[in-house]
Amino acid sequence: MTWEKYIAGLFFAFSVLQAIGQNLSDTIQIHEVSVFAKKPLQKAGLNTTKPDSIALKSAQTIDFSGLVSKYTPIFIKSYGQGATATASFRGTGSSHTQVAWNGLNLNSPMRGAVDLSQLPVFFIDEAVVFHGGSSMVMGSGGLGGSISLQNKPSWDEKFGLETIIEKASFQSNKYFMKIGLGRDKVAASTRVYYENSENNFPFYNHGVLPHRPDTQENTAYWKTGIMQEIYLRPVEQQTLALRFWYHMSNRELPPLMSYEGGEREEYQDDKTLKAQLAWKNYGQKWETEIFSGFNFVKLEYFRNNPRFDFVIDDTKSLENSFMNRVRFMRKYNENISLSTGIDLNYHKVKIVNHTDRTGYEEERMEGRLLFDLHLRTNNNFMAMFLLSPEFYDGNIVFFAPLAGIEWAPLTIPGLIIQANASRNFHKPNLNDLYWLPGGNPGLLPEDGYSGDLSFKYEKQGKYFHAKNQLTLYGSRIENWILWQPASNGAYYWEANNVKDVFSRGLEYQGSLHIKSKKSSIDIHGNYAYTRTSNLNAKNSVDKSRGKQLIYIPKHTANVFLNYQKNNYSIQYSVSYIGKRYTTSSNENNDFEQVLTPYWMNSISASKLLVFNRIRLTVKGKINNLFDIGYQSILWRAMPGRNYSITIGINYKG
Amino acid sequence: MKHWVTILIILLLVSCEKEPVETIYFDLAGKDGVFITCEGNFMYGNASLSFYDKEEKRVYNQIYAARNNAPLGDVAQSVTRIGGKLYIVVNNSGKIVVANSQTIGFEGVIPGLTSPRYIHLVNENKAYVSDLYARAITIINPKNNTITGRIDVSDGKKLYQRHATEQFAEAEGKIFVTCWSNDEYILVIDCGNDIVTDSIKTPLQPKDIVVDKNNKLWVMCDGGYEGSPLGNTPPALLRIDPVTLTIEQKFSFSQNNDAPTQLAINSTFDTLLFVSGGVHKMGVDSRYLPDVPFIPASGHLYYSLGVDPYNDEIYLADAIDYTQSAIIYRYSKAGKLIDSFKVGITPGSYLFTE
Repeated sequence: MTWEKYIAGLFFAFSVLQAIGQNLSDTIQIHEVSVFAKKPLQKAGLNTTKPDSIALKSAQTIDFSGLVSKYTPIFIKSYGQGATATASFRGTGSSHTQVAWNGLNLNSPMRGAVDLSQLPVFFIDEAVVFHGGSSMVMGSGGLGGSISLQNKPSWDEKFGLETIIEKASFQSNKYFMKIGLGRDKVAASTRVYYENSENNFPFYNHGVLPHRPDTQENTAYWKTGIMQEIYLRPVEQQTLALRFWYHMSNRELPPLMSYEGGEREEYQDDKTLKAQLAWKNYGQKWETEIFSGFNFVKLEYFRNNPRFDFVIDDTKSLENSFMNRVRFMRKYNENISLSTGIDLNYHKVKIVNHTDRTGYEEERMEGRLLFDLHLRTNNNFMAMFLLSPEFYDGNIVFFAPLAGIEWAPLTIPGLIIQANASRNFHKPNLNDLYWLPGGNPGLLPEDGYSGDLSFKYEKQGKYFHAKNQLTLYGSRIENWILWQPASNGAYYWEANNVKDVFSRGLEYQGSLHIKSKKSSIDIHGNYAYTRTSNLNAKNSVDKSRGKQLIYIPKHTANVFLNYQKNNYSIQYSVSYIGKRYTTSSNENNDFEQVLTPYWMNSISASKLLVFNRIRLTVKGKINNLFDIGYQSILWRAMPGRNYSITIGINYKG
Repeated sequence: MKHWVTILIILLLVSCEKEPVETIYFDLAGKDGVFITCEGNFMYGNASLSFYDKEEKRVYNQIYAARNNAPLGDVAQSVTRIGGKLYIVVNNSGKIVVANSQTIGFEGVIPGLTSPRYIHLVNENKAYVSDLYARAITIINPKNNTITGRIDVSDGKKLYQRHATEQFAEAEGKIFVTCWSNDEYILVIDCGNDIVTDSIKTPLQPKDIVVDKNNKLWVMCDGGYEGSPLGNTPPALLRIDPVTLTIEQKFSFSQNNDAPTQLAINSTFDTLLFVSGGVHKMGVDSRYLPDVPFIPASGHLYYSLGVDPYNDEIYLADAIDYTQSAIIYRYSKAGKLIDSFKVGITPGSYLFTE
């Protein structure tokens, strides 16, 4: 097996690591080959991808932003370990990626975005990425796309216990535990975690003079959470799911590298409580779902000058969201299904800055009707059409459709061609409308038109299984909301519908699984070319027309490789983040107005030990293997090479 | 073997950092021009310093970074020349960067500040630094670039965290400082004893302050914003007597019009200039606000205004979309366009040299 020696040699050349550890993935699952004729009708025409079980296991101790950046084409704008991380999908803004937890939308009604650093991968069993207009099956607002985080019951797991302890550089500690119980009609699982870090990494500070070695300060954080799931299956066709998730964190917020001011105290506290109750009935002809959930988010931002006891900012916000939906799906036969449904959501936001007593308290009621038709005309053609009129704050958006087709040419087995087109929209968030000063109640929704064309090719042999997907897309977003200095010259900033954005590009996902008698190798890769530009330049001196939007790289890529032999495994991942402009005119000079591209490499090795029903895994990992200096955000320090060691214990009764 | 060594070398190469930027040397001695601080974007750390040569009509951008291979910092608020040095106040970096005014070479830093805004030179050994969040004016010694003291300006109350000090003016042997953010006072400072001796209550948020030929103070108040818990008032231009500390005249602006900002005065101290849509001129003896702009807005939203104290030429910055290089229009005293040039992001203050 020449290839085995080749890969093994490559890894050992990179690594100073001894093979002390192994993989937290004790089972490598071989994907089934999709048989087009048997593909669920509900997925026809939708462009979706998902990190596989190996990726999820490998990312088990990191937050969701890490999983997304390493295993999907979505670009993550991260302020560093433990700090805010938001998604930019297909060149759109952070509020244009919708995130849902088992159908409960997590996007803040106040700010629009989701902080992915607050979602531990350990709490998730499956993640599905909906690209572009395909996200409309989850709801409106995903102009870039959406991410569905899902939990699954384990009906046949009598008793399962999983604990993970991780120690890492910069005084970082992580502890995870999951207990699962399952019987025929009842399943339950409890997950808890705690993570803390001083995060006091060294870096070379070239943001001040003289340039000097420095240590990051005011960056410590802790996070903790608990999730409880209870599932009932009173009869074979019915399930009842009840889930709770409480999460809290405290994060110090560091200054920029150029800061040389006096002592400062700045932090953010987050507390969230999410709960949901879902009942599903799977009949021969009808499927019914009733869902109800809430999401409470309490956030405190505090900034103080301790020397003068000057509280610069002390803002507390409370967001309460209640979300409800009903779905009916009628399966006329194997080739036609029609879904209808209604969503009814209520949001209430209260925000107060206690230093100057500014703030607002506002509500939003929103509702959505859904008509979703899926057809299969023969064994190689499917189509879907979705229409979802929506109202919010007294406004009605009637025309919000999605249409898709899927065709498998019989002449090329394994090839599927998929296309869809949609009109989607994104409601202004409540800060955009009501923030004082500068909120603009007259804002229009951001209006998006998009289209996708995908080619999927899948091939499986005795020792391999390969998947490829290439997608071309284009989208136009009008009335893009931006905050800019007030148009009347006043000193504050205000929200306006400013830009007209054209986003286009391609996404490629590929995977290859090769196995032999004693070993296997998995390679997964993503590449995204994202060209996103503003068409609405202000006047002739405005050089932003046609230029790439700031902080959106044109090129991103990642490759993940897992090699396993017996109970040893080695994993290697490399991510590429292309050049990012920080000026709308894409000026490119030598003075750090452009964030330079970088490659981020990491390697891990792990060992699995089996003692009857107990499985012990030990894993060692090196992040930023080549100790590169880079900036994800302008003048934000980032850590160099760092290490972690992880011990996992799994018991199944 | 050689294959994976090759791969390793390629990976190492692509992981390397970029080469250091080459230093660019300047000699601005004898050049007649203007330094322009460009704030950059808050929390981007992309503030910059530009120099425009009036004779050659040539602009030098990013001169601090080019000379020193380091960023200026986050939000360059103002620049003052003391002796042969530039004192660049970098607001959100909590520091004042000191650079040689001819070579722009780094000469030092005054760190440890909170949110510094403007500098006022009292004498060769003493300068005051206003601050948004320190409830104090910092006293520095420009001779050795050290902090030598502080003037407490706290009103003893927590609400609105007063006083946030802003711009300075000197008249009748006293120093006056506006208190802008969530405030409504001008403080009077005895610069001999470094203490606040008095205050003048004004309409909300007094910001810009200048002194005219009659030794009267002129202050522009923006009036806050609608919906503010502090309340809001129409923007107002005030004439204040520095002796009696009384408001002698108050010119109120309509809240429906463009907000008045960027108060400046000409070289003979007899004409005020400010931006309200376009640029307006007003004699210090006028009894009315001007109706018609001297330089119309013509679709521009002017971010800052500089008036050359040596020839009364007017520099107007259009920040365009606030995330790209701004354009500055240079007008003659008579309002005729002379030149335009690009500088950094959001240019905010001007320092004219001769």
